[in-house]
Amino acid sequence: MLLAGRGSLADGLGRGWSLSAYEGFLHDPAFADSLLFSLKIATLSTTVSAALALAVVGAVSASRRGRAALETAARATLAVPHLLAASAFGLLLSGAGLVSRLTHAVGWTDGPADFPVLVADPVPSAVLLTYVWKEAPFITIMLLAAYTPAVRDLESAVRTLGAGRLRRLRHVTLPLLAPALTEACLLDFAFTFAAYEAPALLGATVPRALPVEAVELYRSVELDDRPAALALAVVIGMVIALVALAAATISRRLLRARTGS
Amino acid sequence: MTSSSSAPVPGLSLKRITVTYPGHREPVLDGLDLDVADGRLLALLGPSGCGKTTTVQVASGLLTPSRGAVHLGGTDVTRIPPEHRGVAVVFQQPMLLPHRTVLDNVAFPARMRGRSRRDARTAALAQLERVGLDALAARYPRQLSGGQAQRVALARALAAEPAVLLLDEPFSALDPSLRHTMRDLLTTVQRELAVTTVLVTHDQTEAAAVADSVALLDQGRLLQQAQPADLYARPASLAVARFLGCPTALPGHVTPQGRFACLLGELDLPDTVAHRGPGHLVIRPEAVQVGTGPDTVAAVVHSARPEGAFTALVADTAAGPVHVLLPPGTSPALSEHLRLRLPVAHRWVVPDRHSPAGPPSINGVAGPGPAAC
Amino acid sequence: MRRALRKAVFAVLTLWIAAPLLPLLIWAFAGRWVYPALVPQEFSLRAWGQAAAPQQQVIAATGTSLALALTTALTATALGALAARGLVLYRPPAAGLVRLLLLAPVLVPPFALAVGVQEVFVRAGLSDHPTGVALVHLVPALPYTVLVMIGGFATYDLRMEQTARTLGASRTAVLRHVTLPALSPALLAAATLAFLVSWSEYLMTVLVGGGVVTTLPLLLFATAAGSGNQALTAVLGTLTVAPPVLLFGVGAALLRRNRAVWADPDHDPSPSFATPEIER
Repeated sequence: MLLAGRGSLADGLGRGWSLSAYEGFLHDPAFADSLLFSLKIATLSTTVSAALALAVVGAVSASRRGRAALETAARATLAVPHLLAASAFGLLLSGAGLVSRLTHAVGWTDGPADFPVLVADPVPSAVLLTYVWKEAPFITIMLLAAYTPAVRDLESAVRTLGAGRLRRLRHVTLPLLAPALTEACLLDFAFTFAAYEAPALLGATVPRALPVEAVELYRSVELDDRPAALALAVVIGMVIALVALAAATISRRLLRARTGS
Repeated sequence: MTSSSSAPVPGLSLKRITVTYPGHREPVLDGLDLDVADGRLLALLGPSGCGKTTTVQVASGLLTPSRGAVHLGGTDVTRIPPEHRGVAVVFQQPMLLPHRTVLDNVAFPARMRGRSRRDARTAALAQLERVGLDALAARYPRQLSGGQAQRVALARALAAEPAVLLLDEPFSALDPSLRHTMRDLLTTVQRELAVTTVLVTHDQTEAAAVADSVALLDQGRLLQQAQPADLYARPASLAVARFLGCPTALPGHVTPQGRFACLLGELDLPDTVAHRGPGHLVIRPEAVQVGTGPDTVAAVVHSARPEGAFTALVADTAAGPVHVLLPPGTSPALSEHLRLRLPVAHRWVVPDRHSPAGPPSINGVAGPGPAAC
Repeated sequence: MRRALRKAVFAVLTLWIAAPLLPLLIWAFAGRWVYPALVPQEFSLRAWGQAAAPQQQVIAATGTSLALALTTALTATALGALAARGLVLYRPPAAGLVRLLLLAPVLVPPFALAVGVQEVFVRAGLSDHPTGVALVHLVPALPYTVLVMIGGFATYDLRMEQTARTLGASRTAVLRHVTLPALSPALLAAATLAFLVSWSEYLMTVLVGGGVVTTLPLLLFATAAGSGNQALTAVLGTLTVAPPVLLFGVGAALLRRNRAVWADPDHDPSPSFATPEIER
């Protein structure tokens, strides 16, 4: 099915339309803006989520109950659909949203107009918040899954050799969780780079995230827009492929360091 | 003998250690006292589930005891975390860092003490030479065999320059022939460095082969601590005798003249038996012989089964069953009448628990006191 | 001190989860909630009544969503279990490559996937049809079920089946008495994930369903994006979030009960280090 999808994609683009759709991108500054915008969203949300997940997992690593509580919390957020998270953050962060009411109640802001624009702003704060809210738990779960009893046994073994808490984190926990972290970050990046819902609901009209742009073009009534939409799909796919390649290289290097082959 | 002030300070000393896991009523360790003489190798022997591993956890600091104290060279270290305690552990699994080479694994403890990478590696190479693996320094743990990995783990533990070295069943995952070489390596290295060492094992031959003294643990209590030969020749209780493969126990009592009175009559005892009063006569199956003459006792074969080249025989005497290990060649039939010689030098009497307490024997027969040897 | 810290951590975690969900719940029952009030001026069930009205299609869409999600969960779990069994237990020569291909759909942009699939579906007459949508939902769901089932089979011992066969169990009896019970935690987890993937899917449903197949997320998106009707958005959101959360909760409870039976006795009361309360 995947191959069919890919193949038909190449068909729809390559034959008859040549590369004019791609050429169009080169002359269109909006395309560059969209690409950068999407890259920014994906990179930022992945980095922040990963940092948050690592910090939390590192903080509760020692206690079994802490890990259990964290896992339950992470699972609960994992169960929430992205679209719903985006809608909920919309209700929370909009000019007349709950946070804005809170700041007004405390006396920090005077009205909806005074509240910093988080939704539908060129700086995609609400989109990023939604993603971090959803993806930090995801990475946490991936990390907890890799944080096996074997890893914890190694930590206590190394303890008897004189390694304190921070050193255990640096010399045992991090290196052993690195493959899982790489994988989680890749999945996270691929998702946030290609997802439509959150930027469509919470993003600005200019610049538009790449997937939003692609969907708009695809639905456009003008016939010329269709190949452009498909070309955008290819661009999105290629960026993800590049990132996947980088992640594969990193994890191969991590693996090689472990087997020495 | 009675005061400890004159005695040298033990390298490792566990005092009244009690550990109860949450959710369990019975303690895993129940007021355990254990002294390991400085620079000596003690084998901690016992059946699985007796609390051996918990003892290692407590000594290393990975587990804080519910009650009791851990002393290293006379200092109380109960509250000192494992990373600052100077007690290195070799576990049943090698526990090498998979992402580090053999050399960097062994260099790890020195790095933790803040030494430069170069110094640490130089020192690590010396440790690897000691265990004969310097040629494998550049390999990764996955490329090692089980025995090699465990040798690297030993080198790494030694590189920590520990005050006490703990080995928690380090050879039990290895095959028998490899186990022997590892034992030899351990004794050589231990004698050379004179580091206070505790070897946890469930294998009595291993304990007897390497240890200066053996502590026998059961259900969280110390049954007896003695030199290996003494442990076999002079068990403190029937439980010890039975664990060490000596099931024969004939009830009776030791007369004031130092003879053993039982249903077989009065039997001579060696001078080493200081106990007087009720007790059980124990004698190892290997020591009993089939023979004739005035110093033999009558017996009827109850069961006989081959044990390797030997025959394990149980013969009923007037005082109770006697276990015999017969050399190859002889194999009596069931219900056959024969006579058994119980050589005087191999006889030993285990006092009954509630016997009127005589003066405690030199070998620390009663209770968990440290053996005076 | 330590307890205080633990409580603080719990509080932060709870706040983290509740922050976006709480306003949703309040909005769903708010009759009038004008800025800058912190709590609604009046509560009402008006939005729920609105949602129940037939012209809103909410009830029909919920049904469609449920049917799609259940179909996806069942199919994806069955296929995932078969694929994982093949990959783990019989180790085909190119297992690595097959695994990679099976997992690839996670990385493929949903837009590209939908658009590509659409070309095929138009020709096959599956576009704008629930069957087509169900098939598309299968694509992103499969990698998850395969992954979870690979984990499930990793600890599964084929010799258990062989033992059962030597004890006189037929193939179906083995499946019923050995395989399914042993794998039930993994199967449950896989089905939950697949359900969730299908339940949350928006973009591919829109593109492949062509507006004919209406699911709950479609209504939620339309309301959230266009209407400005916050109460209705909140009601649709609550409807969207309830089943997955419920499912996860029930799944977790079932798993916990199951784990007690299948727990490895070697790892139970006092394992080598995993001893409780190992001090700092």
